Formats: sequence, C-alpha cells, structure tokens
Amino acid sequence: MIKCPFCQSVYPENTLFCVECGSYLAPSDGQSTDPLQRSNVEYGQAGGGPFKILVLSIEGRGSIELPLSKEVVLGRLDPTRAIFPDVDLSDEEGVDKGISRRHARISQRGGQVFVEDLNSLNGTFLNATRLIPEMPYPLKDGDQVQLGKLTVTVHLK
Amino acid sequence: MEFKHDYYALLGIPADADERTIKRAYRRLARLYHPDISTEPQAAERFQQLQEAYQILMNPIQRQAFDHWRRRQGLERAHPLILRVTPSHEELPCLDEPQALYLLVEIAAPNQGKGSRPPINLCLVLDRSTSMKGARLYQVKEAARSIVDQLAPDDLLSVVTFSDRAELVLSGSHNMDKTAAKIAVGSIRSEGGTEIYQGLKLGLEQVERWHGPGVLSHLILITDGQTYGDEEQCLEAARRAGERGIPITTMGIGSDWNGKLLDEIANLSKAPGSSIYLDSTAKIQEVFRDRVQALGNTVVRDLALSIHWGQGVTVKELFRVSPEITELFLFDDRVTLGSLEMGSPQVVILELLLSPHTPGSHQLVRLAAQGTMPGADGQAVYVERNVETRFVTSLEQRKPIPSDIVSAMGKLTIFKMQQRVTHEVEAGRIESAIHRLKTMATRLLDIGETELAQVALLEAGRLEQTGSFSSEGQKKLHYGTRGLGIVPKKRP
Repeated sequence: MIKCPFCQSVYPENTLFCVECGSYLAPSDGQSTDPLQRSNVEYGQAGGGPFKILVLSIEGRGSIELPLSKEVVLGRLDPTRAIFPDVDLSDEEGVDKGISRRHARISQRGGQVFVEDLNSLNGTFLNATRLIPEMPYPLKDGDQVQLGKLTVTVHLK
Repeated sequence: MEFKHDYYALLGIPADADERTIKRAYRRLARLYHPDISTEPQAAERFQQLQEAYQILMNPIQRQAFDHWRRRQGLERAHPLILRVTPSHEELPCLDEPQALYLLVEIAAPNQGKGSRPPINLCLVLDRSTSMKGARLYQVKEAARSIVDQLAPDDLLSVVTFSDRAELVLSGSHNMDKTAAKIAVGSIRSEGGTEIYQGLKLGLEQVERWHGPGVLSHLILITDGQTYGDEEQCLEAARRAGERGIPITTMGIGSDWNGKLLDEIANLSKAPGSSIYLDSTAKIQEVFRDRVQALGNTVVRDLALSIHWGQGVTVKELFRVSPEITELFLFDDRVTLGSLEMGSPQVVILELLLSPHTPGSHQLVRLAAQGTMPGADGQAVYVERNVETRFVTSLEQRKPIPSDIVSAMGKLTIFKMQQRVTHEVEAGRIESAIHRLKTMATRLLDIGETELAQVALLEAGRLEQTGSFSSEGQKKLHYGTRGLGIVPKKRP
C-alpha cells in the first residue's frame, strides 16, 4: 500500500497518480537536485567564452558553483509533481519571493552564455529589464538576474 | 492457378504464419461465422471462404502456388494493423499485497500512402432552428459547401435539415452536380424548434439507400439546442445505426445543448470519437473538413480490442486516451473502438491489479485487436500480443516508468478529477468540488494548459458564490479535459 503525501488517500503499490488530488505518486527514479553548497568563491575576470563554471551568488547567503557543460534550470523542487530543477531555491524563501517551479534556464551555446525565462509567473529580470518569456538573452560576468523578487548575481569562469 | 481471395488477409494472419497460427485463426473465425450460430450478415459465404482458405494454406503445395499468385497480384503489402503494448514496469517485486500495473496499448495503421479508397456515403444532418440564425447557420452552410468541393465524383453526399420537422435538402447521387448542391445548401433558412429525432431519422434513411460493405457510410449531426421528449428514440436510432455499421459524429455549438445525449448517440453508433464541442462558430468549417478527411482515411473499421487475462489479474480500469479520453467498458472481455483512421492511432490505457505472484515470468494478459478493412470484400484483420512480466524477489534497480505512460496517466487523472467535480456538484457537495477544482487548476498549469486552468479557477469562484456551474464553463472543462489526449495534428 502507498499513501498520497498530500491527501493521505491509500492506493495499491506502483499506482502512478492520486485521483483525489492529482499528485504523482511514483518514486522519482533517482532524479534529484544538486544541493546548494555555500562557500566563498573567488570570482574570475569577465572575458570571452567558452566558460566552464557558472557561479550564482545571493547577497548575504553565499554562492554556488555549477558546471556549464549542461543547461541549468532554476526553480523550486517539487517531488510530488516530478519537477526537479538543477538549482532549488525553496530554501531562499522561494515561495515568498514568487519563484516558479521551473523559473529560468541558463545555458551555453557557442561560447556565449544565455538566460531564458521559462514562462514564470512573476518573471525574470536581467539588470532590471524584464525578459520576454522563452527568449534567450546573452549573459555576461557580473550581471544581475532577478527571479521574482530574488536577485542573483552571475559570474562566469 | 487462379485464386479468388487473399487468404492471409481473410484469416487476418501474416504471410509467414506457421500451421499453428493458421489453425488458431481459422478456428476463431469459423466459430464467428458458422452459419448455424452466426448472426453476421453473409455468414454462410464468409464461412465458405474460410474453409477454402484453410484447405489451401494447410496444403504445402497449394500454399506455394497461392504465395506465387499473391506475389503476382501485388497483394504483399504491410499488415494493416499494428498493436504495440508498453507496460509501466517490465520487472515487478514479489509482494504479499496487490500491486498495480499499467499497460499502454497503441493500435495504429501503417502509412500506406494514397491508395484508392472506397467511396464515402455521407449525410449531413443540420439544425436550422431559430437559435441557429446568423453566424452559426452561416458557418454551417459554408462548411457544408466546402465539403461539396472536398468530395470525389464517386462519393455520395446528402443533406438533411431539421427544426420541428425534417426536410431533405440534397439527395445523394453519384457524380453530384456541385453547383446545384451548393445552391441547395445556400437556400437553408433558420426557423422553428429543435427535434433531433426527426432529422436523425431522415438522415439515416438517406445513408441507408447507398449503404453496403463497399462504401464508407457516415452521418454528421450538428445542433445548438436541447431536444424534448424524443431522446429515447434518438438513442434507439443510434443503436440501430451502430448495428448496421453507420457511425454518427455529433457536434454541439454554443453551450445549450445536451452533451450527454450527443455523447451517447456517438457512442452507441460506434463513432470513432464522442461528441465534439464547438465553442466558436469559426471552428465549424475546420472541424467538418477534418472529419471528412479522416473518414476518407479509414483503414480499419469495426475495430475491437479483446482482453484475456489469467489468474491473479483484475482489469481495474480501461480508458481510451487518444484520439480523446473516454472511459471504455468491457462486454464479454471485448471493447469496441469504432474505426481506425490513418495517422490517428487509438491508444488505450489498461490499469491492472495484480495479486501476489511467485518469482519468475508470468503471462498476465493476451490482447487482440481485430476489425475489417473497408472495401467490398471486407477482409478481416487480426493481430495479438501476449504481455509477460517478470516477478523478482528483490528489485536491483528501478527502471524509470516510460514517459508516455506518465504523461497519459497525468492527463487521465485530470479528466477523472473533472468527472468527480461534476458528480460532487450534482450531489450538492459544493465545498469538496471547489477544493478539487482548485487542485485541478494547479495540475492543469503544471502541464501548461493555462487556458483550461483559468476556466477551472473561474468556475471554482462561481461555485463559491452561486453554488452551481455555468453551462458554458462546464462544457469547456468537460470537453477540454477530454481533449487533453489529442496529439496536436501536424498541418501540411
């Protein structure tokens, strides 16, 4: 027997969805989110790509380093809906600051790094300009990306 | 040596079938067409052909001669039915409690390119009641005119209108005079009430005139209102049409029509889908055109899926998820699916409940799809698959569940939630319905259906204030969630 974590309805083993509340019940099959590591990072100088490392820092909270070999999705983790962003901002008051489950994406193509809003409810801003959803904008070292009300500084190494 | 039929197709088996397969197919069909017990039309003739097929295919020398003849006739083409089964789990742990297993069953027809299709025998039954006045009737007439252009010289089109009574606007004939037909359609005026049965009856009479195994008969009914007192007669007519092999596509414009009745007419007549909701008049032409096009693409008709399950297996639920979401019901382990159109596979989700099994491989279910090909000789097609699952004492690594199943089940779950909301509103459990509608809206947002999610939230607000649905919102939700299964069509 398995129990729906949301509404406590009971189903046979291996059931996929809860009909009461629509939650996804199956285990997440090893998908997970990279944990946020707080460390002080020395920032490199801006320059042409290709870049290997993306550093995201939140004022007063610390920084996180991510490889740029694959795209990076920022958002909020929600295992019951099978949403696993690469960077989970739930602990950064993600809900209060209006961050969507899948909010924005940072990726690299041909030595240029881009940020793209994923149709988030409260929008993504690059240096205080709101981005048109689903359109990649070029990012440079030291840019400020705002997700909802949360400001993240981007450094490229 | 000369042969009269493609015996492989007659038995619904591949050309490289072994003797066992031939025997089994023959026995199965012989039981179906035995003149002493069969109720099928032309059973005696079919039975005779089956005998012939069996004798020839079981004799190696004759079979070789037949194969040679068949190659010369160019009958060696792909089998017209593809049956694909994807289980949610290939391996299951041995548990001492029941567990669920999902099967995604796809029935499709291979792309055979443009062959010659049998002629279409179509009747349009159009509502011309007063409420149709203006844009609605205009668009319906335009749609009917464009169908006139769409049809080939061999095709037959008749047009019937109804209000309080039914009138024959255009009678079907070969080599139709297209100009005269368009003028006749253009002369339709709106006036009077809505009595669906009158129109349905006259329309079916028109289709019957040319109906036979060699044509693709079909009736399209379009209305914008409620019919009073003749619902039972409508359903009876639909049932008869289904038995005769004349599917009825039903369409409703606006929000005042009886969705349940139109659904039942479509289902009883074994149409490939349920009723179609037209929320804007601009869609009418497109929907008509798509319908007629799909009709011309019919590859297999009277499609049915048989499900045979062994011990320790229960079929818990059965839903069609494409072309649209519908709950299906088994009669004698069989479910009828209407006709199969090229480029639009029928997809069924089977939810099984398995009682504890011992370790090792177990055959759980045998699935068989069958139908007949359109055309004068009505060849039977048949294909079957066995579903086996391995039970193991300890699962080493969980394999991810196929994304097709997860996505289909997610949409199906939203559809089921919508059904529950409707039941709850009917039963007066408004609080619970509001809560469920809001959760449903979140789920709709998750899969990117923003428009439907807004309708759900709007209706939740309306329920809070007035305790009832708006009929338009209810239709939008019902038809919207049902249409979640539709794979977006690629336009050429």
